[in-house]
Amino acid sequence: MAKKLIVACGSGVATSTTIAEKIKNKFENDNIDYPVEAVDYKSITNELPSASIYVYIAKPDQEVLDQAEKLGVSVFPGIPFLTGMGLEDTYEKIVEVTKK
Amino acid sequence: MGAFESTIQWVLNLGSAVFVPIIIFIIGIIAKMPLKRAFISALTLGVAFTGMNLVIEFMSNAVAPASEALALNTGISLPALDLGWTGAASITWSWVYAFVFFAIQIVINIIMLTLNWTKTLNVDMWNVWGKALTAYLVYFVSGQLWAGFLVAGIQVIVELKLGDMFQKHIEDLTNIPLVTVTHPMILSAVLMLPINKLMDKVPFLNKKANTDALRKKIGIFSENSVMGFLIGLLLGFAGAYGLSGSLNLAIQVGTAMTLFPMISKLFMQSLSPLADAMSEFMKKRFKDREVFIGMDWPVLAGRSEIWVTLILIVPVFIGFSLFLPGNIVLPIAGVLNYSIAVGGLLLTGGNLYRMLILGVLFTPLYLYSATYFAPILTGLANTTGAVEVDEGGLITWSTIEAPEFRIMFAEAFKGNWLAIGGAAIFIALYVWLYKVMNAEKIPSERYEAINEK
Repeated sequence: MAKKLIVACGSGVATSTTIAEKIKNKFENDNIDYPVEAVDYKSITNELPSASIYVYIAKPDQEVLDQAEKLGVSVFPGIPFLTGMGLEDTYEKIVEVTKK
Repeated sequence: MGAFESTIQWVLNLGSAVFVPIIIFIIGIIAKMPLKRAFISALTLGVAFTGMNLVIEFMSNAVAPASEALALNTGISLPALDLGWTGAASITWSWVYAFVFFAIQIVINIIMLTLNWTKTLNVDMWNVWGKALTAYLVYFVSGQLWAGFLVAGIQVIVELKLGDMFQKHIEDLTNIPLVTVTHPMILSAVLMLPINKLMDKVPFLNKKANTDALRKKIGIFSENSVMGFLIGLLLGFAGAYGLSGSLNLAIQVGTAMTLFPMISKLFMQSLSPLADAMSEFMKKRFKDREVFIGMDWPVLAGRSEIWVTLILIVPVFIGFSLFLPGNIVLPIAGVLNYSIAVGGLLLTGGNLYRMLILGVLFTPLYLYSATYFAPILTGLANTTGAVEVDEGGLITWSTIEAPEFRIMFAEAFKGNWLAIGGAAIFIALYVWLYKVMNAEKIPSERYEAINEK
């Protein structure tokens, strides 16, 4: 299975990159070697097959969630990385998936 | 000229692809970033500037002859090249004063929070460029640098109060507690308000549409490559390029539109350690207090009404651009009008019919604003050398955000009495909007109740 964490926002530029960089830094500090990429939500259905972890900003459509489940992609909220609330909790869960 | 001035001048003359990374490197060192990271961050910024220049040149070479052919073939002259927000942002970051606005935004926010004048903490440090753009626009038009900084300061305040007034609506639309949006694009709701009030009286416009199904059908059009392809194809045909030429132009415009966000991502990557440090600093200061976290608009991107509006307004936008007298802009890279879609969503609480009506009514405002903005953005690009514009060529941003606010205040500081009156009306409408949104029901409770009557 593909090993990649993707973060998707409306343009694949600003918000998703902010979160992606944050996760990248945290991975680096914890010595986790795992690719992280910011992508465009508009092309999420093309991105999911090459991903293993999907971090969203706005809650995606049911259809997208179903596709993620079928592909075995773990889905996490990205907002904690912006607000700081629940950040460690979410991050730890992501780390667990990276170890799979 | 003294040694100091000549050194400064020499550094500025290096061009933005060298000069701005040096600033970022120095800021990084001051912020105690590890040397390696500060260097990579600075280098990425230089790469971003150069890459952006490359794509813009590529698009310009493809589109400029086509729009000349369009003018010859049809008499419709649309010479200003639309670079979209990604292009506008990269040019704005090359302005000497751009980085000062980090400090301005942070200081004003801290003061407002400390005095309890707002509940919103704006952690969106990326859109600091929006304040820099406002300041430059006002400075360019009025000739007064202080006026530019003043209006940018007003924008910081206005954004925070937007965050306050829309918070409960955004929480309802996204189901995420305590978040809000502080992006200036939603200022579009200010002028839309009177029309929305009129629409309250129309029974048909108080019904909810099911947009999820529609979004699935037309969602493909929101992909950058598809949108670019279609616009390129259209432009080719209108310029009598023939099938082969048109298809090639279509692929080229699709390429440019796909690459723009990829390059823009590099800016973000480079600036994110800095932006991150600043937003952490802010959050730490107000840790023990309940605040609304102000962020960029994508927190709302899960609402299908936004995407449906964005896509359905495109043909209207292009249609207007061809036929509106005085317009010089063909929407390309900025063709998706986020201001209309996101502002409309928040104002109407996700009522698609109203969003579309507002979209059609307000589209001309953006074209004329982009026409007005063209010499300004071109001027900035030429001064900083961020982008090479051909002699006599024009660049712009077809969906410039908060145009009414930016242009009205710029003209007001130039001493234009009409604009001074307009700015006063704008502020009055803004205050009205603030009251209306605070009193208004949250979106999920809005239209059903009216239906039952």
